[in-house]
Amino acid sequence: MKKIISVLLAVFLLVSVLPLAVSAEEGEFKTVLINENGDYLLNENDYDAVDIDGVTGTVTLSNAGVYSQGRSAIKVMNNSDVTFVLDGYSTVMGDSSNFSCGIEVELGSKVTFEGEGTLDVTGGKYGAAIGSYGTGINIPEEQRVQVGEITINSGVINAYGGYRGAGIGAGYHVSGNLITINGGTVRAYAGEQGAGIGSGYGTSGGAIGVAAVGEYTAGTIIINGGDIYAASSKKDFTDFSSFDAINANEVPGAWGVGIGGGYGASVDLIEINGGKVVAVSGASGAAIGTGRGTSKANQYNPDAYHCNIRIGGDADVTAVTSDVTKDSDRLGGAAIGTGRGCHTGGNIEITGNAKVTAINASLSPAIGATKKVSPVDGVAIPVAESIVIGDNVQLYAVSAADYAVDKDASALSINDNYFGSSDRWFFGEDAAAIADVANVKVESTKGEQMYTAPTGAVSVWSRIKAAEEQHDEPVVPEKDDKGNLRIDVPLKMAVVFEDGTVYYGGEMKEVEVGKEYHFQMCAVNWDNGTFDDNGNGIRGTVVYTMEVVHRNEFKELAAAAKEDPERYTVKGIDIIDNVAKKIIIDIDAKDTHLETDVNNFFMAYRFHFKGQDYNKQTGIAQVVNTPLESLSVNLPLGSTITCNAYHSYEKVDSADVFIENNSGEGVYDDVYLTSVNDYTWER
Amino acid sequence: MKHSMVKAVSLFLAIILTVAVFSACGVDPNVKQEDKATADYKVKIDEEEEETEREGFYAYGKGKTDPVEVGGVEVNVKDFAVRSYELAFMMAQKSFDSPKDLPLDAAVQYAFTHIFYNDFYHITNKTVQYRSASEQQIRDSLKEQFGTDDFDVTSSMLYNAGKKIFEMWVPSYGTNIYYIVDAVNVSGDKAEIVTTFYNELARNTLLGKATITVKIQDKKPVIESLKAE
Repeated sequence: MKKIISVLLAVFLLVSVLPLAVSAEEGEFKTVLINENGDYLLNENDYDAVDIDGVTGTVTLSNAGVYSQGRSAIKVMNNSDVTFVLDGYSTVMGDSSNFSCGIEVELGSKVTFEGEGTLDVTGGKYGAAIGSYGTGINIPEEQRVQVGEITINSGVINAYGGYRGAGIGAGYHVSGNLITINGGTVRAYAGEQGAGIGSGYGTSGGAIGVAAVGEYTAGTIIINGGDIYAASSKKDFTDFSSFDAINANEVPGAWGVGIGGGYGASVDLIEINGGKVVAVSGASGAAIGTGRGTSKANQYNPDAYHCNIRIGGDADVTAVTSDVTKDSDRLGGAAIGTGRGCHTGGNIEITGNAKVTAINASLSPAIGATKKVSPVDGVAIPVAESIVIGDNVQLYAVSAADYAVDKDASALSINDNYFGSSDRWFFGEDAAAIADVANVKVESTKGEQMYTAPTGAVSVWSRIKAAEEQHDEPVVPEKDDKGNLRIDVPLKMAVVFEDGTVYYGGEMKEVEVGKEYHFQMCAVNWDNGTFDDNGNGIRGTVVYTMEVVHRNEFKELAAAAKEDPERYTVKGIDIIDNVAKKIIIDIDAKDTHLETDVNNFFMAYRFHFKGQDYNKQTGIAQVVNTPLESLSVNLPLGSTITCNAYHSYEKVDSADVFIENNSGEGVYDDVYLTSVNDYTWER
Repeated sequence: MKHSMVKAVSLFLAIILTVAVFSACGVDPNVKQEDKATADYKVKIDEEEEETEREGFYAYGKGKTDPVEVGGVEVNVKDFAVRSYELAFMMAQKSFDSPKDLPLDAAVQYAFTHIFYNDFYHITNKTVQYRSASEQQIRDSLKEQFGTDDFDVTSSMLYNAGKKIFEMWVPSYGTNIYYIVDAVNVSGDKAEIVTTFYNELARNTLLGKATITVKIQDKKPVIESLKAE
């Protein structure tokens, strides 16, 4: 009897850890309904349709096939939150004859893709492969189909949009919502005139206030990692050696985009923080940004049309706009920016350590607005609202027929501190200005990559030094000018640089002379002396900058800085620029190091109790987890801490505190201190 | 067939039957609903009705989060309940009678973050993000949130006077928010949104309570004051 019970128990345990195989109804249509929370398995069977209704759980796709007729293959609805775990090679297809998707995600529902398998998913008529289906007519917003949220964490996903649908995102005449890609390999291709990732065909023109150009949007697209290939059609796009080669990739999806809004659609936000991204569009639409607009003022809503693009972190982005129509009336579309037929180039920000290659084979800047008249008045030439290119960005932009970067942007911010002067930019305005552009070879700032401008390029704009004497030979990089710097940090703190490296007191950092480094101050977990993003310590929000220079330059800077003591604090080996929040350090000094001061870089907080402090303690979440009596702690500016008060180690109070620099409250023994803030518990 | 073999076969059939029963019902018997509920319950609210009365006001019942009309303008109750959480529990600004009472650095940091994110709890980046913004963007965001940009913004610690831009490491504020809107009290062009926040989905332990006052200014709802504990 004991044996039987043991076996039964073992079986129960086994059942508890294995996903449940979904039992399809036998018969002509194998339709599966999942309407209870749990973990499910769609295995090697072929299914006609799967409905996931109001479910939180996982669905493993293990060599499964779902092929629908008359509807989406998989429908996720009624506030479901489903994680699809990819295993093996699964295929999901919508119905190309009926409004449908491969995987339909209803508004309010959320899907996440994980696992190591592969998913081929195809949209049906007017539908995205993953996202929403659409409608054949232009209808007011309140009547339109809407789409839920899509997240991809891992796996291989090949997404083919149906006719006029996006690969991943929204269908025809539908706005996007939120797409987040954190990892995996994603290949996403639009149906005609949609986006690989974003929205489907929006509109070619409807009534303003109802469904005009600009009133559809791609929503928000965030890419934090992964290998992402997105195009306005399913074509190989690997040859960027010449514009002919680019244009030879015939793209029936002209007017759509690689990532962003389809024809007539705006972009709320495209944010690329990491990963490798390659995006390609046909003519008139941007590779990353908005699709083609319109030339008709009465069908264009300038108040609604917008485009915001941010590329940063360590993202490696290639954006290519081809010219497949060979028709000057249809050309345009920036590699990064907006499509032809809109009034703006939007807001484009490229920061961090991003590496960006933007190639435009059409009549448009590589980055910015297409230079065709605005639909608003038929006269104005659109410009970008703002373009920001950060100090450490590695940028290679090239255009076949216009400026590589929209030099007429309303706000153009390029701080070329990395090189120290703008003459290192190779900025050609027309073919005459660059006599032999096809043979210009340039080497990247990081010495890792060689670029050759495509044949026919008229403008190359690069944060890269061009060869001046021998165009056929690569530039010989200057000898590495580096040094080692000791990072000193205040007690129980750490310094974190922009690339994520954490330095505790006394550690050495190799630095390049003349290069700016952003960093932030962090408090460590006192229990283990560690800082990380997993609950040990807290970060500040203030951005500081560090640069090392050689002795001679330092002396010159120090002499000049002493003339402006309000702005600069000059010490033996460093100069603190209090205005720019920057420290300039003499790398040749004996015992050279980075040193951060209280008040400017962090704040010391003391915790007291009203009355007396005896046998009363304070703790701070993630920092001082073991409460201490008369606690004095260094904290990074701009952080919010949660602290707890204890009497005899019994918690009696709790408070949130926003950490600021000196408030003038630090008074000790009648001496006014500028280096400390006091917090007093009312207990 | 030996007797022991019969027992083994019987046992095997029993096991198969047991598995089939659970599989057929489509529910994992080992998965509790509470264990699985996560992100989509961020804004789940109780259905319980509880009318409140106050002279000069009309009130919503407890748990209702439908948009409410204030001074002819629709106010999204959920949005401002979340705003009160952000200010009180993410920025530690638990009480202010008017926006000018906010510490400069807190106001600018709050406005800065809202330039890039509609809701703090959606900021689910794995680590902090470097962001920069112009003074005009900061002022526009302050006006959008509080109806005023009457702050000496360039004195903020986030301002880099050298580059004339605002810079910030935007924290990963992302979290789940569990709350119940207790009441929405409307009077003229103002609305008080009273919200109770909890530490967990089951709403067993209290995190705090906040009353945010929203006023209509230029036909848009803006934050006027906050009291939280």
